[in-house]
Amino acid sequence: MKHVLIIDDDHILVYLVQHAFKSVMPNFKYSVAETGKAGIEFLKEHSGDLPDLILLDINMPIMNGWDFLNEYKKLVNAKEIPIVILSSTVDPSDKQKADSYDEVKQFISKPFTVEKAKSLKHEYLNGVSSN
Amino acid sequence: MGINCKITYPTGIVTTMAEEAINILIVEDNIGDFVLIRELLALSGIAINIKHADNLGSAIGVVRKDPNISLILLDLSLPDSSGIETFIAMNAEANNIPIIVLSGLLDSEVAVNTVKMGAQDYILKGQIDERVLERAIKYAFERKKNLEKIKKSEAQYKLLFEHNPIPMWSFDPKTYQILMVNEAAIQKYGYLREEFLAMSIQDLISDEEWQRRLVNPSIQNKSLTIGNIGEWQHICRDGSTIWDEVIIHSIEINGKIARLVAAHDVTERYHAREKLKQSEKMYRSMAQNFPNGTVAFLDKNLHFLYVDGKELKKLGARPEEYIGRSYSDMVSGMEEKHRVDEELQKAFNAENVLFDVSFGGFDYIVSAVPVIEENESIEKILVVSQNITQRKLDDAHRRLLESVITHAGDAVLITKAEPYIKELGGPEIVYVNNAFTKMTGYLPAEVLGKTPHLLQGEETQRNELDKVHYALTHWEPVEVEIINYKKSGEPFWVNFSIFPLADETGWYTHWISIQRDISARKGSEEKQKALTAELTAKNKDLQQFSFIASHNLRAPLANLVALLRILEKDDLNTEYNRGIIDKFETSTAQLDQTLQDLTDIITIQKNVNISRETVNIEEVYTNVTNSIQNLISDADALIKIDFKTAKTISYNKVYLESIMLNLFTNAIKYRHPERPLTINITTRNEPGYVILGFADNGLGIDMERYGDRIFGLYQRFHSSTDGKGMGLFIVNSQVRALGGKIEIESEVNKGTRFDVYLKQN
Repeated sequence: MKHVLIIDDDHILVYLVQHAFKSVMPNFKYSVAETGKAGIEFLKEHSGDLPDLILLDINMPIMNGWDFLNEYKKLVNAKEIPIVILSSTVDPSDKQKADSYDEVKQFISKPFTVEKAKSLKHEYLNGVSSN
Repeated sequence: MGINCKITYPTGIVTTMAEEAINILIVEDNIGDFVLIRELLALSGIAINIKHADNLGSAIGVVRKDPNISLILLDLSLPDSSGIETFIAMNAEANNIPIIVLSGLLDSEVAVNTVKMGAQDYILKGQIDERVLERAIKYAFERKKNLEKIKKSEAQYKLLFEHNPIPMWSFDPKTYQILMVNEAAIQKYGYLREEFLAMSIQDLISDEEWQRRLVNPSIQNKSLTIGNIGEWQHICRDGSTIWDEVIIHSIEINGKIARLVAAHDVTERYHAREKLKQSEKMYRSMAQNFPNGTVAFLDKNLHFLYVDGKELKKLGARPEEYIGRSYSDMVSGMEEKHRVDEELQKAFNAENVLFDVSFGGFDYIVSAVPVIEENESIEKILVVSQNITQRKLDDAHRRLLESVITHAGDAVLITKAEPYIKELGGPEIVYVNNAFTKMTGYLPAEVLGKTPHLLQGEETQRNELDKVHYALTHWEPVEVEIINYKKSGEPFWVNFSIFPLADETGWYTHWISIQRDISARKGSEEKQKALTAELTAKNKDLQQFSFIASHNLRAPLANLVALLRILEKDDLNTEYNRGIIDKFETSTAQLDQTLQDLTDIITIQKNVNISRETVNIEEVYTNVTNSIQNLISDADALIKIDFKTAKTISYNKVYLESIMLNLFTNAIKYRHPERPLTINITTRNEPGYVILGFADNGLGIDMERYGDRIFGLYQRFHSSTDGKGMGLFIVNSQVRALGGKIEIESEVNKGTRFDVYLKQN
């Protein structure tokens, strides 16, 4: 079963994301971390059961998206996970900043739609599931 | 063979001869002849020493041994030699001793030949008579006398040479080798006698002098010619030099021709003459090169004795043309001539006179002084005439320029070119104009002789002064804008350009500085700068604000869009749809809240002129705590206040309430769950500010991680509460809107302290 980690404090967005993914791949599992810090802790605790994709918000309390990325670099076994930033930002410098992280594969804007879920599935979640 | 003869002698000789005998050598192997001759000589009564040799060999031995032989009587037929050979051999050894040949009849012809070869005479043995012997003896006597004479004169000459106080030496005219030298020369030049005798006269003369003589053969010849008097520079043993006047004579030493030199020390005379030559040359050249004028000597008739100077060329005249003419001839008009004569005449009355005169189209200033002779009389006067035409023109021109500078609108300051002493702030001030006094308040008398350092002070830009220093030490013009100080101590911005002034020879003599008060321009420039900085910061804030605001507006709006898409529109009233509609409400509420926040923020930001009033801090505190009484009691907070040092401030009351309220709600929201909340609020004064101190013992903030975004909009550092990241942003905006700032100290799990700098006017 494909596993997506959603790091975002916006409950409605989390709902929308899982809703969209479910409609394109019913057999799918997701986890939620409300802060960057919680995201790091999740990855540390699930080192044997890492997610297949991380959807990351920028604007969060306690370690925002950038803080998360900086800490993420230090996690040895998590580096292969594709990370997609999902943000409502209009600040062009955020996009530039995202480009400086190799780990970030895409930068997509809200709203999150079924089409975007399809595209992400096609891009990152088509391989044979580890589970 | 018998000999019979009588000899008569001059009486004068007899006595002399008694004193010293004549030495005669008789060379005769025939003992009979020898005895006969000896007897005849003895009869003469003359004191004669006779030496006898019976062969040529022993005769030569006698002659070599005895220099006093005066006469040789020589028989040609000897056991070891005969004939003409005997004479030749004897004569070679006789060294001018006269020889009289004794000859037999058989070789009389040979005897005649000996006379041709230098023999004094010959006597035929058979005919020895008085006459012949008398002549022979007389000759021997004369020779003896001459020898005596020579001996005596040689001794006298030697005495004269050796003891002469005048240094003398003799040299070989071909090799220049010194042959003799006297004691006076040894004393004078310091060489030992042996050294002298090993030297040539070349060694005694300086190389330079020798070369000069060698190069010029006429001098060379002349200087070594007999009877010539010349001046030679001689070198002493210690290297010093002596100028000698030398006279050269010819002498004969041991039969050889030599030169005798007598030297008379004329060093002093030489130097005096050289000095005189030099000084005469100097005075002459001084007069010839006298610029812009003439130097002249006038006699009692006021006629030129001597005149020279560059000015003569200007007048188109040669010095000789003036000699014998009257000085006043140059002046036109009888009255003027008379005046000039009168003035000059005063110098003959031992007065120094100075007067103006014009001739040849030029103006002159004339100075006449008496030349006082050794006997205190005045035979001539020295007249120096200086052309001042140009100077008069220059003076007029200078006065014109000076009046321009004096009345110029810009301040002008002139300093000497040197010395530049950095510590004293520059070179000495020699001139300032009216505008300078007006600008700085300093009167000329207060700055002349001082340096521009006087104008500098604490705020004067050192780096700009260094620029000036560099330029001044490199003779370059420079322009700077710095802060200077007026006499009143008031600082002002001044622009000054400095440039060096050179005299006609290109030598820098002064620095000229033109200064202008640019305080007004600088003031507005500074304001402009500050304003630009403020605007830039504000612009950045606004941009950031707009990014964040649009993000916070977009996020709920995007959610609404997405929710709408997944709404099942066929039958709205399903469980699924009700869940979606709940989320609709949440999102629209978020949107509303964000808009509300933005409205608040914009209200703060647009209030450029916020009114101030005297605000009682404790009253504000009371209002705030009353309004959140419930929150405070729920948190069970312990609050300590101390407003004693600053009870009231000049501030905007609403802002102060907002600031305090936000700090309170922050402290309560982020209190530590494991201990009761304590808050300490104080005030204190600092120049320009009242500082509101607000400290809690709450969760604290990781300053290392979040320090740079604490006051950012929508920045949250805690997840456990409902903070939305607005409070500190608003506090900071309000404090800064009134010109203050906030300092923050915080440690995780220990607490946070805010120092709010409330700007006072």
